[in-house]
Amino acid sequence: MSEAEKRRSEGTNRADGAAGPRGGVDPDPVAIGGGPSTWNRFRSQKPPMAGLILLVLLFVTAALAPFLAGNRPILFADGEGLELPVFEAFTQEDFFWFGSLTGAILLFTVSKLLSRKGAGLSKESRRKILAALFGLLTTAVVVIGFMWPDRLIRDDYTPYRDGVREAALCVFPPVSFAPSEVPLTNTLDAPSLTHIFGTDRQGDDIFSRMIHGTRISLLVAFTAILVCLAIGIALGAAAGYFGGWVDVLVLRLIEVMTCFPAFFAVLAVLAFLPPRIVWVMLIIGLLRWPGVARLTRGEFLRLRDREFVTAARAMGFTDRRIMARHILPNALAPVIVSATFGMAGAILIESGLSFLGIGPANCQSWGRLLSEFRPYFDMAWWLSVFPGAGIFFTVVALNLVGEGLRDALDPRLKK
Amino acid sequence: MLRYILKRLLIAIPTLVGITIVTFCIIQLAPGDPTDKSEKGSIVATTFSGQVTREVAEQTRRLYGLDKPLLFNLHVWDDERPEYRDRGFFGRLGAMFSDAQYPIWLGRIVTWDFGSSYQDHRPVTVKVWEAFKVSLLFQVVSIVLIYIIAVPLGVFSAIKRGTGIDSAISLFVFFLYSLPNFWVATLLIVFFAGGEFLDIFPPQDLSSSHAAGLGGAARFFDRLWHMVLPVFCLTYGGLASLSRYARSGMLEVIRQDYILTARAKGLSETQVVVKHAFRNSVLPIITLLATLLPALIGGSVIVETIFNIPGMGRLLYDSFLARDYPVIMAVAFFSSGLVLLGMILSDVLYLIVDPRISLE
Repeated sequence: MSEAEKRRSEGTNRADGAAGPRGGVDPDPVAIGGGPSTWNRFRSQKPPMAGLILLVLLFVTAALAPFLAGNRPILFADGEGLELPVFEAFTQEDFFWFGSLTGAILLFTVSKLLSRKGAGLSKESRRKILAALFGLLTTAVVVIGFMWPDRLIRDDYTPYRDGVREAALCVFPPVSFAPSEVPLTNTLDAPSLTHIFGTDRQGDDIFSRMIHGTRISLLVAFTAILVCLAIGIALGAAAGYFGGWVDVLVLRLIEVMTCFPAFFAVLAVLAFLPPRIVWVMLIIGLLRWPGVARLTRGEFLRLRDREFVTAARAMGFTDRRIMARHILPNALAPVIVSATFGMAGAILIESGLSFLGIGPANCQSWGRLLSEFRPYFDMAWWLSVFPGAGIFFTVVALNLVGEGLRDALDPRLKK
Repeated sequence: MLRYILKRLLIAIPTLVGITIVTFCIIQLAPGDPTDKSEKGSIVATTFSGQVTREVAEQTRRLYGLDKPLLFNLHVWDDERPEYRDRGFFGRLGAMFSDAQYPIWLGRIVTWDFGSSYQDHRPVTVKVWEAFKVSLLFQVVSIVLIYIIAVPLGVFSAIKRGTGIDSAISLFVFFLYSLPNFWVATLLIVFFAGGEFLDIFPPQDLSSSHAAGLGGAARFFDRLWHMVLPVFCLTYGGLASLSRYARSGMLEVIRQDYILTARAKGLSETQVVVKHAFRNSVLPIITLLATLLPALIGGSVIVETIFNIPGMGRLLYDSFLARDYPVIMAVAFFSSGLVLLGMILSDVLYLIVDPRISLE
């Protein structure tokens, strides 16, 4: 194999600044989760923090969508006690999102409490408590979620919103329109105080539709990258660690996949599959693993002959254990960084596909909104501007976090 | 050098075969085929009421060889089948690997026979060539633009590193990089091509409807006018990533000792940058040509669809919808072949430019 080819296939793109050991500097990798220092380094950078905050906000928006945009009051009282009408229309999906947000907040608070100085717990026991809590919460959310009842009879509260009827107490979500009311009045209204992003052809509030569409983008990014990481790390690790024919095979496979323009391939597969968002996520993940595999392979190749690996081997550990416990943690940094950029890429692919009208029609992602609004673009500029801006800012946030992570995980790379 | 190129070309052949096998399996294993009447552009003649009888569909499938197995034919060992019964062991073995859809396709490709389109029965090579010419025009223009703009931009911001100009350029490039191209395309159309705002550029097509009657120069400008918006969409993304690479390549070089030496000799800053640093920083940018190619081809599906340009991306997209197998296979074959060639080309360029890299 030539030098040029080797350089590329090891994924150590020189321009990336990730070129191999540089004069005299010990290339000892900064381990992932290297304690507070990684986080502190990340926190000290302003743009990535802004991106992270934006991402957290997006997640909260997705999780609390029914509380932020909908035509059912959060609090309602009219003579007979206080009611919470939002929960009447809570679907299973709503619950899963809401449950995961609550769980995340709980875990975060508990971990903060445990790591206070007064708690007097060792790192090991803290980790155990957190793991147990995580397992408990996940089970709880899944079990309750699957038992979640779908109530079909729902009262109509819109008269209260429109001022036709009055109640003693009636607190609507900040955006008091459901994503698909289809009122057929106020169609194609320009942005105003009532509809800050304007209305669409059917008179639905675009902001409300976008709030509910947040979920798809986040879900696509997450699932696609999980699939991509699973395949990429497994194949890349095997290739880098074992070398030989495994390496040759994986490298050929990577080459085949890279020659295949990703968007072509996604299009190809999706044109033939039943339109379901799950397929979109899986296929984006299935087609984007070569990048991750290449990086993992390069890292494994670099680390496999280091002293700590030899030591582990001398202790008689199995290959699997050495790969998973010893090499992988040290190889993860560049993979994590590329995964963050990959999430941005996955969102771009999904919205591009939806824009072309490929993929499920019932899935109200931002790209799908754009595709639905396309015939009316020349009549109403807000139809094209806002959903696209949503995609753009999510991608910017992810890219910012990726850049920040790159600098925080490997400070030597910082220019 | 020649031996190296030959070796790489030989290795590329199995890769290309692998790619076509993957494509073949993807498009054929999935539900629906060209005889499916629910598909747009079905190849089966429909009766007056639009109904397709099962026999007609069956006959059509046989006519196009779609009833055969995909990669290899296991029916050869079946003694019930009259067509294979009289053959000997080796005859059957041969038939097993040749009497199936993929081997038949491959055999025809070797003789440069790509068949004809299911939709309009024109030869596939003609269709692909027409689309390729259009795409090539756009790709070449945008790649040239990308390099012309991005390299100086990156080098400039590397020289000015740490200053306000550098961070401004970095931020600008960063935002460009995150812009979804279909959104940019629609915004350009909404704000610059008709609608309620400016009406400067044509929103669609390759040329005006009256272009055929125009004289040479007028026709050229008409085409140019139509190309502005799509080329912009194809250019800005690649521009963003290339200028980032140019910047970090330059930063790496500028720290080297020989730059210090050049400065110590009393050379002017321009001479140091242009003669000593720039040439060495160009290296990684060359490899990027290989990575730009697939992205450009892939990205053009969206841009070509939005601007209604009859290029490769559009051709592929339409053929997918119509299950036009010969066209899909040919486009996949040519585009992945081009990408492979691009990769080899960039490696060879690497070798030529950087004498430190040896062949072995």
